[in-house]
Amino acid sequence: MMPIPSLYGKLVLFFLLFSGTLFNNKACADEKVYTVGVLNQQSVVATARLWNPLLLYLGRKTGARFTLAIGGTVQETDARTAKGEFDLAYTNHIFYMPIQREYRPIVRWGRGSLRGLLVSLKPWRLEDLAGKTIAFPSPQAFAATVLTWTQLEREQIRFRPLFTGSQQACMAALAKRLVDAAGVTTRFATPYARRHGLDIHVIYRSAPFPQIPLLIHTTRVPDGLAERIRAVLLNMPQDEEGKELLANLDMPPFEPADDALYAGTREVYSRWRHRAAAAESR
Amino acid sequence: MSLRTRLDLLVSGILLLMLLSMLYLSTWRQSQQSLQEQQIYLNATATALDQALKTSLITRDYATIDTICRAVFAGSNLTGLDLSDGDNHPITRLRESEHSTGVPDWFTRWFGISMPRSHATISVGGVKYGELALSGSTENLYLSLWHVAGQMSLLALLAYATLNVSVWWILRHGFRPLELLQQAAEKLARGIREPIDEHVMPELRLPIQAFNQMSGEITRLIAELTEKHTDLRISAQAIESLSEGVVILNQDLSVKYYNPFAERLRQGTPGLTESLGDILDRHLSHSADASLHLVTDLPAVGGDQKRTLDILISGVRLPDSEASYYVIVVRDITEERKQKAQLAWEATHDILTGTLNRLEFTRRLNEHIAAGQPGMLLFVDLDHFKRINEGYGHSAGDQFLAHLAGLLRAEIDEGDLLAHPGGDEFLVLLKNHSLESGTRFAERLLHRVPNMKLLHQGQLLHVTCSIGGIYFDGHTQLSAEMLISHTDATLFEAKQGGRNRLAIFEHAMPGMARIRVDQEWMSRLTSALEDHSIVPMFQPILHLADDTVSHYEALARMQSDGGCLDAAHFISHAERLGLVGEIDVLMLREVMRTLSVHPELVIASNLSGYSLNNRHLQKRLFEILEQHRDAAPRLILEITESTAIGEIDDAKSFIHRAKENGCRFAIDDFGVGYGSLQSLSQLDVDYLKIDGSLLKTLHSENTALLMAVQGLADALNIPTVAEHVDSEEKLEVIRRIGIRYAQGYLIGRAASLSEIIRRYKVA
Repeated sequence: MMPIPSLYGKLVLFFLLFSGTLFNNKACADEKVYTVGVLNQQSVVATARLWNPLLLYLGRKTGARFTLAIGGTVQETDARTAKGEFDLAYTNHIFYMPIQREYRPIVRWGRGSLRGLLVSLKPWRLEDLAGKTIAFPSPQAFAATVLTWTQLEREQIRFRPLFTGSQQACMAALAKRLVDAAGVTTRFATPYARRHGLDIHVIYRSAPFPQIPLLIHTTRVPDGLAERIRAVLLNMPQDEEGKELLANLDMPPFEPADDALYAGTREVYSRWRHRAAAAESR
Repeated sequence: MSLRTRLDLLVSGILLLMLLSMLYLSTWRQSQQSLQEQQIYLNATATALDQALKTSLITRDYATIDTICRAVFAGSNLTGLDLSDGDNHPITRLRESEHSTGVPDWFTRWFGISMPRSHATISVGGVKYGELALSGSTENLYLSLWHVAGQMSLLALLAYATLNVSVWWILRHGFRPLELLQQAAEKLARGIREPIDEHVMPELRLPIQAFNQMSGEITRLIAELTEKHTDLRISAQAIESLSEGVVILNQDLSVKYYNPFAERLRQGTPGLTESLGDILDRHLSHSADASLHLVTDLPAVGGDQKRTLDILISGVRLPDSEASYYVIVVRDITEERKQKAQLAWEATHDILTGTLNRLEFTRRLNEHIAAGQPGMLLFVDLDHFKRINEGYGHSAGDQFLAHLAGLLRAEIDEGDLLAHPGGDEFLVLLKNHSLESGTRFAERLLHRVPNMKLLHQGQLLHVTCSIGGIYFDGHTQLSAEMLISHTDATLFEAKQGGRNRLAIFEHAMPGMARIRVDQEWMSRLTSALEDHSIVPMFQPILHLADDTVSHYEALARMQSDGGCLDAAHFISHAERLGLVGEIDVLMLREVMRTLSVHPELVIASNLSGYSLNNRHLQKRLFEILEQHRDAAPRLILEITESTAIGEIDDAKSFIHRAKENGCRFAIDDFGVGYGSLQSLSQLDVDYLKIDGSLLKTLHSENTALLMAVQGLADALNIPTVAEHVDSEEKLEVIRRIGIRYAQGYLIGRAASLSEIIRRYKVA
C-alpha cells in the first residue's frame, strides 16, 4: 500500500501543481497573438517592411506577440477594420466607422500634422484640374481623398476620380502620367517624389489634422498590455534599439494620442458620410 | 613492326584518347553549364515567385497564391514546387512526373546528374511568411546532353578520321626519304650503290647528301679494299710460294708465322728458331725500328753438314697499332755459296787439271812481284803431246794432262804456283827457290815427266817435256806477262834445241828469245800464206729444229810437216806479227770461191779485229765480196764479241757495209766477253755463237749461264749457235735451253770440202 505523504510533502506537491498551472496559464497567455491592422497607405509589402520590424520590437519589449494584418487593398483592410478583426489598428478610417467606439487611440506616429495634397507634374492651379483625371487612394482616405475631394467640390470643379487603392499607387500613376493629378498626404508625397526624382507641384494643401493614430481594442487588449505598448512606443527615442529602428524606418517618434485629439477628424468624416448618404439618396 | 606503323598506331591512340577526353570534357562541361543555367532559372523563378507571393502571403490570400503557383509551374519545366507558410504549414505542393526522353539509362547513370533545386525563404521586415522549394527537370538536360554527345561523337569521329588520314599521309611522306635511305642501305649492303635523289624532300637534303657521300665513299673503300685484298692475296701467295723463308716473330720472340719454305728450313735446321732468337737478343734491342742483315751457318739435320743462311731482320711496327713484329727473311745460300765458290774456283783454275788458269796465275804472279818477292818461273811444254791426242783421243790426252798436273803439284812446295794455261803447257812459280835450286827443280822435272807413265787401253803413255825458265829477284821491273813471255821464248829455244831440255832466260840479253820466236813464226806464216798451206776446213752446224746441217764454219788450218795445225796454234802468233789480216783475206777468198762453186752451201768465216780497223784490208775484203756478189748472201762473217764491242763503231760500220752486199753476221765467243744488252742491240747481227767454254763441261752452273745467255739472245731476238757440242748429253741440254744450232765433234769434225760434200751428201 502506498504511504500517505506528510504535511510538508503535501504542501510541496500542492505548490508544484499550482505553480505548474500558473506557468501553463502564462504560457497560454503568451501564445495570444495580437493582430495589428494597418491602413494601406502604400503597397502591402512596403507596409510589411515598415511595420514588421516595429511589431517585432514591440513584442520583444512588451512580451506579447503581434502580427501584421492588412488587406490586399484599402477597401479590404477597411472592411476587416469595420468588422473589428484587429486587436490593434493603425488607421484614421475607423473614425468613419460605427466600430470606432470599441477602440481608443493610444499614440500617433509623428507630432506633425496630416494634410491632404493635390499634386501634379505641372504647375497647375486648382481650377486647372477641371475635367482632369485625379487619382485617389480610396473613397474613405481621410486626408488624400476626403479633404482634397471636399475642397474640389467646394470649388465646384468637376473631375474624373480614379481610386488606386493606396497613395503609393496614386503617385505611381501620376509618375507614369496615367492621371493628371493625385490626392495624397503630406507625409507620403514628398518622400515618394524625392525617392523617385519626381518634380511635383502642390496644387492644393488642406488644413492640418492630427497624424493617423494607433488604436487598441478596449476589451481584447488588457489594459496593462495597452499601457506597456503605449509606454514602449513613446519611449522609443529614449531606447537605443527603438531609436535605431526609427532611424532605419525613416519615421518620426510616436506621440501620445487620445479620443479628443481626433474630434476634428470625426467631424469631417461625419460630413463626408452625410454627403455620401445624400449622394446615394439622389 | 616498322617504326612508321608504330608511330602511326601511337599517334592514332593518342588522338583517340585526346578526342575521347575532349568529348567527355565537352559533354561534362555542357552538362555543368546546363545545370548552371537550370539553377539560374530555378533561382530566378524562386525570386520571381518570392516577389509575386509576398503580398498574398502577407494578406493570406491563398487563392491568389495557388493561382500564381500553378500558373508559374505550368509555364515552366519545373518538376516540383513546394510552398509552406511561416509556420511551415504546407500551402501548395505541385509535382510533374519525368517522361521518357529516349536517352539510354546507361547515359543518365554515367553522368548521374542530381536534380537541380532552389529554395527560398519569403520574409518581409524580419517576419517569415513562407518557404518555397523548386525542383528542376533533368529530362531536357539529359536529352540535350545526349544530342550534344552524339554531335560531338560524330565530330570527334570525323576529326579522328581526318587526323588519322593526315597523320598517315604525313608519316607516309615523312618516312619516304627514310624508306629510300633504308632501301639504299640494303642495296649498299648487297654491293649495289644507288644514290638517292636529293630533291625527294628538301628538309632531308643534308642527310641524303651525307648518305650519298658515305655510300660513295664506302663503295670506293670496298673497291680499294677488294683491290688491296687481291694484292694481299697475291702477296700472301707470293710469300707462300717464295723460295725464301719468311718468319714473323712477335716482339716477345714467339713465332707468329712461318711460310712453307721457312717451315722446311726449320725442319732441316732444328735450331733455326732458337738461333733467330739468339741473334735478336744479341744484335737488336727489341726495337721495332731495328734491322739487321747477316749470314750465319747453322748445323743441318744429321749434324755433319752446315747450312749457310742469309738472314735479313727488319723490325716492323704497324702504323695504327702498338704491336710490333720482326719480319725475318731467311735465304738458304748453302748451294749458292758452293756454286759461287765453284765458279770462283773455275774462274781461276783449269778444270781439267785443277791447276790455276793463265789469268789467275798471271794475277798471283803480279802480286808476288809487287810484294818484292823473288822467284823462279818455269814454262813446261810437253813434247809431241799431239801424238797422244791424235793417237789415243782427246780424253786420253786430257787424262794424261791431269795426271801430269798431279805429278807437278806433288813436286812443288806449298805456296808455289802451278797453272795450265792451255794445250800441253804448264806454268810453275817456285817462290822459295834461287836460280840454282829452281834450275835443279826444272832439271828434276825433265827426268820425272818421262818417267810418269799412264796406262791407257793397255798402252803405257809417256812423253818428254821442254822447259823454259826465268829467275827474277825482288827488284825486277818485269811484269808477270813479260816474265811469261820471256819463258815462252826461252821454251821456244829449248824446243828448238831438240826438245826434252831446259833453257834458262838470260837477263843479259833481254828480248832475244822473243825475237827469235817471232822470226821463226814470221817465216812459217809467211811461207804458209805464200804456199796457200793455210786452208779452210769446214765444220758442220746443225739446225736443231729439223736436225739438218744448216751451214758450215770455215776453220783455218796450217799444213806443216804432214799435219795440220789448229788455228789456236798459229793465230796468236799471226796476230802478234800482224799477219792475221792476210789470213782473213786468204780465208775469205777461199770461202767465197767455194760458195761460188757450191751455191747450196752456206759458210761462216772468221774475221779478226785487225781486219775491222784496217782500211786497206777492208778494201781488199770488200773487193773479194764484190767479185762474188752472188755468193755473198750465203756468207756469214763471224767476229768475236770482244772485238765487236771493243771496236763497236768500226764493227757497226763494217757490218753495215757488208750487209749491203748481202752478208750475214755472227758474234763469236758470245757469253764470256763484255757484251751488254745495250751494246749488242746496236749491232745488226744474225747469229750469236755461244762461247765453247760454257759447254766444255756440263754442270748446273754452266747450265744456268747458258740459260742466261740464251735469255739475252732471246731478248735480242737473235738465234744462237752452241759450240763444242761433243756429247748427246750436251746436245740434250742445249735443245732444252732453246739454242737453235749446234756445232762440235758430236755434230761433225772440221773436214775438207770434198769430205763434207761426201759426208753430208751435199748435192
